[in-house]
Amino acid sequence: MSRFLRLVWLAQAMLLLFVGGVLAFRPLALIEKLPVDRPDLDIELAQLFAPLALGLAALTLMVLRPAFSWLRESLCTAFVASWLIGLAIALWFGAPLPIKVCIAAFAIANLAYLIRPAPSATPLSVRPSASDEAPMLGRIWAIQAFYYAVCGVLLLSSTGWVVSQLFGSQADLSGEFGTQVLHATASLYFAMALISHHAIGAQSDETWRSYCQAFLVAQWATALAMTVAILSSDLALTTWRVSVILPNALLGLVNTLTLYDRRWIRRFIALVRRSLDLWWVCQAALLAIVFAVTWIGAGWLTDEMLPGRDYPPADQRELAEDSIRLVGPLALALFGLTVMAILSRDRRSRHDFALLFVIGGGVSIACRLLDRTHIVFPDEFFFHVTTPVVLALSVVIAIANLLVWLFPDWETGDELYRGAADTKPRWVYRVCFWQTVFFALLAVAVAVWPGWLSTMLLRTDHRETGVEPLVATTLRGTAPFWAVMAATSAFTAGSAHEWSWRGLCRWFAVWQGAFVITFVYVFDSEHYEQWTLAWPTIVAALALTNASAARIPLRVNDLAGQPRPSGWLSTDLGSGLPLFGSTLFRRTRAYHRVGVGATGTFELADTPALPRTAFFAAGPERLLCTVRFSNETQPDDAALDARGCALSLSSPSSTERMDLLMATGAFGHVANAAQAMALRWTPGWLRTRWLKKSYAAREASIAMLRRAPASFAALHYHTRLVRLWVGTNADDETVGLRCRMRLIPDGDAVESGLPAPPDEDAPWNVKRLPTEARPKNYLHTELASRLNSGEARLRLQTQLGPAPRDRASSVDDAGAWYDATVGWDEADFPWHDVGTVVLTEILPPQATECLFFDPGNGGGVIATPRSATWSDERSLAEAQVRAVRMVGELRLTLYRLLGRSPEAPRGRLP
Amino acid sequence: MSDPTGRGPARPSRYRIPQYCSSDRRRGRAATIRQRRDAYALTQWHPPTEPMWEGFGDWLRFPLPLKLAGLPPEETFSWRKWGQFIQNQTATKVNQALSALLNPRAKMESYREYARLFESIRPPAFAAERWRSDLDFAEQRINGCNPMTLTRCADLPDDALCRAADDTLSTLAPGWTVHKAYSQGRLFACDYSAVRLVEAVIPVHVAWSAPTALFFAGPDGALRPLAIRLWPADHSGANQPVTPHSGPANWALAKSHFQMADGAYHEAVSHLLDTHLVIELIAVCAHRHLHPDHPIIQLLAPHFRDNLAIDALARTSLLNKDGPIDRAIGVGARGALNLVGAIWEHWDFKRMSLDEDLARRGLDDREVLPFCWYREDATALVGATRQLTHALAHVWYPDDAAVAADWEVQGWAAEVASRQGAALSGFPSAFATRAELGRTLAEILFRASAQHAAVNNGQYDRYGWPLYSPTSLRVTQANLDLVVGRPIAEIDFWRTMPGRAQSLGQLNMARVLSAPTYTSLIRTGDSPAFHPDVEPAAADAVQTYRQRLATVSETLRRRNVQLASAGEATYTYLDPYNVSRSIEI
Repeated sequence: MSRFLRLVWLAQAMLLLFVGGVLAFRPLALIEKLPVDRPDLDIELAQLFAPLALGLAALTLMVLRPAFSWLRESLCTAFVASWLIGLAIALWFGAPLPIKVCIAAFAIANLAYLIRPAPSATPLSVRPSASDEAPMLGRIWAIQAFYYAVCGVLLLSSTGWVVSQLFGSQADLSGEFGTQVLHATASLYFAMALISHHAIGAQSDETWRSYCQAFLVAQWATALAMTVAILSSDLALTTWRVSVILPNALLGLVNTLTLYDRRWIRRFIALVRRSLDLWWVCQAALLAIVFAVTWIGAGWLTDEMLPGRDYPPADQRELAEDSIRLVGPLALALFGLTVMAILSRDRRSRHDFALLFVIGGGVSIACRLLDRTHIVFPDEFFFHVTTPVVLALSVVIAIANLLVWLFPDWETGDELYRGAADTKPRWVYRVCFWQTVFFALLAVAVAVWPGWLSTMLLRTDHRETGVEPLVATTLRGTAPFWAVMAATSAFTAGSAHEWSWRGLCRWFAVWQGAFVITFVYVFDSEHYEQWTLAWPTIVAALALTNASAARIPLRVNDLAGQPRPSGWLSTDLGSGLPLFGSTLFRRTRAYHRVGVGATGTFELADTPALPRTAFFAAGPERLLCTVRFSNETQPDDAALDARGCALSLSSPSSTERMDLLMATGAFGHVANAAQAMALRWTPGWLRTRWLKKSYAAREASIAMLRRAPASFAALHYHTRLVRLWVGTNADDETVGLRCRMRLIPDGDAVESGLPAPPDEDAPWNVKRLPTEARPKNYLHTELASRLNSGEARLRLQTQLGPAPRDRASSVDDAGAWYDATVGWDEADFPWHDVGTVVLTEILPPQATECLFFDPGNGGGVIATPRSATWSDERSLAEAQVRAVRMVGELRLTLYRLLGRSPEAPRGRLP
Repeated sequence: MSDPTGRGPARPSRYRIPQYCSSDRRRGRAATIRQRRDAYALTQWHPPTEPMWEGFGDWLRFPLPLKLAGLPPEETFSWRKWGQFIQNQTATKVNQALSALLNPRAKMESYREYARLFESIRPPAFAAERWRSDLDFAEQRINGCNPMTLTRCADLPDDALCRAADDTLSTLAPGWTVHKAYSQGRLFACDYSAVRLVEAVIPVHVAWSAPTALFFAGPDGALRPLAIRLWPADHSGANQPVTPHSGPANWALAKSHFQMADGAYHEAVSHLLDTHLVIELIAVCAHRHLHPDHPIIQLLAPHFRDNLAIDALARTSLLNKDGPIDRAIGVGARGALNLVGAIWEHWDFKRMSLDEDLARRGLDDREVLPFCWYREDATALVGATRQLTHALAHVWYPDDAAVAADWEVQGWAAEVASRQGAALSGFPSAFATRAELGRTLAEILFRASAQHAAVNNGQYDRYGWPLYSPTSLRVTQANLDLVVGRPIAEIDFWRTMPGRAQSLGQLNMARVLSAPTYTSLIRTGDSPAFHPDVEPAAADAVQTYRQRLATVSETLRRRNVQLASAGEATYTYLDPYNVSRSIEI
């Protein structure tokens, strides 16, 4: 770099710093100096440009650093563009000639760098290796990028509204010019979002530091500019203005600290983790106080909150007191949850608890903000004081727990194996499931329609008393509680460990009981409609069932490992909702709707290589088996489709049952729950495009799809998802080996229906071939006739891999073992016979439709591995268990309540 | 799959050789390969039939290598690459405009006027300073951008050339004769008589020749030019050898003629054919036969990146009629393509491998040519590469039988070597052992990266100064005077040098082609198959290779610092950080 350009950039930085400073602190001085007369050019508008100028100054200083030689072209291009825009503005405003010349000179100087002779044969600077702090800082910058993107979208989409919120009536930016300026500012925010995103990938120390410098200058400048604007223009300190100052100041602080010593994040997180115990104790104490004050001291609090002697009338104060007292049990619930979090000694559990509190805090913040905008209550109410307090408290709770949730102190690959055999009875699962639905609906209702609800709750003669806003805002205040309840209930449903689900059921029973007692205590038929009692009745029923669930005697699996709750809320929501919705509206299976069932027996094979299990212990009696063969998506058996086979083995002498969900193809499209969720939400046309573009996706389709097979019994079905085979080895030690299973025709028959080259080239063309004459349900009739004339035999086989190992003693190879997009090669992992499925009898359609196969039923043999994150390959099996259970329960309940769907496969039957 | 690290049993992976895949996986792989064969089709390359050459007749006398029929979408340039092109082109065009604007009346008859060609771009300082030095002229043969033609004399040259060389030796190295130098293996020659094969298509306004030069490797290790003869011995016209004693202008003009022929040969053969076109054939066949998950294509694909695209671009925008090559290189695009065809007829992959090539040309003699940095650096790089490919072959294939059973890799080899396929002579038609596979892979990696860097990276250093290495000369009386041994005036020498348009075209082309790489050889193994979770042994091998390259780089840098401090030319083209991972320009 020549000395001249260095001087140019230095001058540019100085100039921009000066202009930025003037724009931020003395905008009026600048405006007055300008020889222009534009009424729409006011102080606030000028101040908006200060961060832009200061950010460009920071970037210019960055360019001067030798470590940024690789960024110089990009930044110089940005400078050239900025100066050219500046020149256009200067020309438009009719700025003095020296200013125009100065801007043009800077544009040319930067352009000169762009077209400089490229150095040849100079060694490239190699970026130093990534630092340990990189992932953590990357997350912070990801949040920063998100913040800027949201700001940009807000500015772009709701320009006038944002300006009115920020500057009130003082800003006259309604004109075309103002809108354009704000749109330009939105693009600046988008640019900052992009730069933040780019910063995540930066690796060298120099890069980190320089990004920090650039960010902190822009962020402090923005926060300062807004503060100055507030102080100098008599603007009130509103939520929206705070929402500009606070995040910028916070991010500025984070970047400043990072610049000072980037290890602060690690230390800070460690501090947060250490102090979280203390915080949770404080939170528990706080909730205990809330419980005491709202439950016991409701009358006192009502008097304090409604200080007016004459308003509302004395007989209406009781209403307010009731609604406040009802908050008590909910505070008690959160108190219990916090105590459980404190008592939990498992790192993973703490992570999950933190997520629950994040949800609660987030919903609380949303409700407070909704209160400010949608409920108008008299100023005499104490709420205008309590709302900021509750808001601040919610923010603290949400942020503290969010930090813990974002920066877990365990890593992917940790705790590979816990042999999570689910000991929870099915009815407990159902209770949790419906409880989740109930609380979620309740949370949405009280958050969105509190006014309508209060109108419905109160008797007609009390509706016009003016107390409705109070009841409504109290109702909305309970939304975070219900949201946490719903999340915790889902959490309980998904939990495989006795400690977890039993404890949570007990907790549910206690607070629900307290709620019912409180409700009955406060209920007064003079004030409330009779139907209001339905609410405590439902909760009482839930309390009783939870209490029963907490008292069930159970056999605890020895391999259950460390007890801990599991939470897969986000993945369950993402993957489960489409399945749930489809099942709900179609009243049948979301996938594999067309199928045929059969029953028979299972003959055990004598395979010494398999670890011994009680379920497969050789005995005089045969295991019973039920099978459902199905097409994945197509109603036509002759179409190109994946075929499924759900197998259930059960012992006639015990309640143990082993369910396996299998399908054609040794490997599939997705490797983890996140990908499964993404694929679930991908529209059909995009999926076809994906298949055209990606050879891996196409190959998975080729592996899975079968066109017009000769028989369901002539296909190879694979489990694809890797689970654990738990048993005892020759040394009588309990082992859990990774395993994959398949069901193949007995004998060496070649698999039927393999796609031909035209299908391989276009696996999205699934319709039957024009030459195909067989009926749509020929596979059903074929199996029926086969079983009428004899039996169908299929061999169940397994591949056994090594047992999971501790991360500390080996490389982190866990993902490769559980990757469902990769099959295990037969050369390395031979198939071992488990036994032979002998199908003898076809099931009637009604019985077939009501079959339910739960992959969580492992019969004490198959365990589902635990996963750490949704990008963990093990997450797919774990998510499958919960998703299938959820939709299965829903489907069977719908059958019971409403009967089967008219679209069910009856129409296909002959 | 073996696990030499002993870190555990084989783990499931998609990056495996086909025979170890499940039947479902094999069906998918076969379908993918079938589709890729359609996408990567090979076809005849016969430029005279293309519309741009309409009206020129069938000027191609020799068949060219096959070419990729159409560029698949995944092979197109990235936006970043296009950005680099535009940036470089803009810089050169701005310089061209400034040069024309600021020097409208330049006659190009002095050093100063040539220096004014560089108004906004940096001139190659070393060439500008030493463009008439004999030592540097000779040094170019071993450490320049075309170290591929200097050959130790297997026979004594004819008498005329011997006499001229003896004449030079008598003053250059008293006590030495051509016979003595020949007997001690110190007599080297560069023979560009092949240029005569393309005589018919060379533009009439270009002064051209098919020269031969003799060089003497002295006991001090320095290489010095002895004599240059512009035409082969059987030339019917005047063909007087030129020596340093023939007069400064005569000698300078003879060197310019030699450099011009060398430039044409370098661009057409050493650069285009030996690296771009040969690797294109190998790459296309690899894509046609190896599944994208095959570990070998996982290794090779990053080294093929942008090769097919740059070749496609070269065919349409560089080797086209009135394109940069047609204007900048004296023999023109037709001459260059005929030269490619002529050499391609006898091109042999095995013979052109580094070891055999150095041995065949006598450049492996460290005693006679101790300062051949191309040999030293290339040997170091190819050695490290062989260790890498050998290790990888043993990771992926448990034994030699597994290599023979890998139908994808065998199909690739067969098509590359087959006359019905790519017809690349000397390429193994089948791989019998892991060692053979490792050797071949190493040679491909070397040719696709280091060899290309050796003949590409120095183009601006050499062609950037038109006087140092003119790629075209004007037709003047001086050219006739040169071959009859008549003294040439200095001004006549300048008037034979390329004009301004020609010079600007030459330096523009050289500058664009010498753009520094952004993806160096050090990033070999940037493929999913080399992730430690997928195959730790392969990841280790790559890591070791990168460490070796870093060591090589450190050694080269130390040497270059010493050379620079001694005022000698450095050789940085094969520093692993400067070597592009693939043929991307």
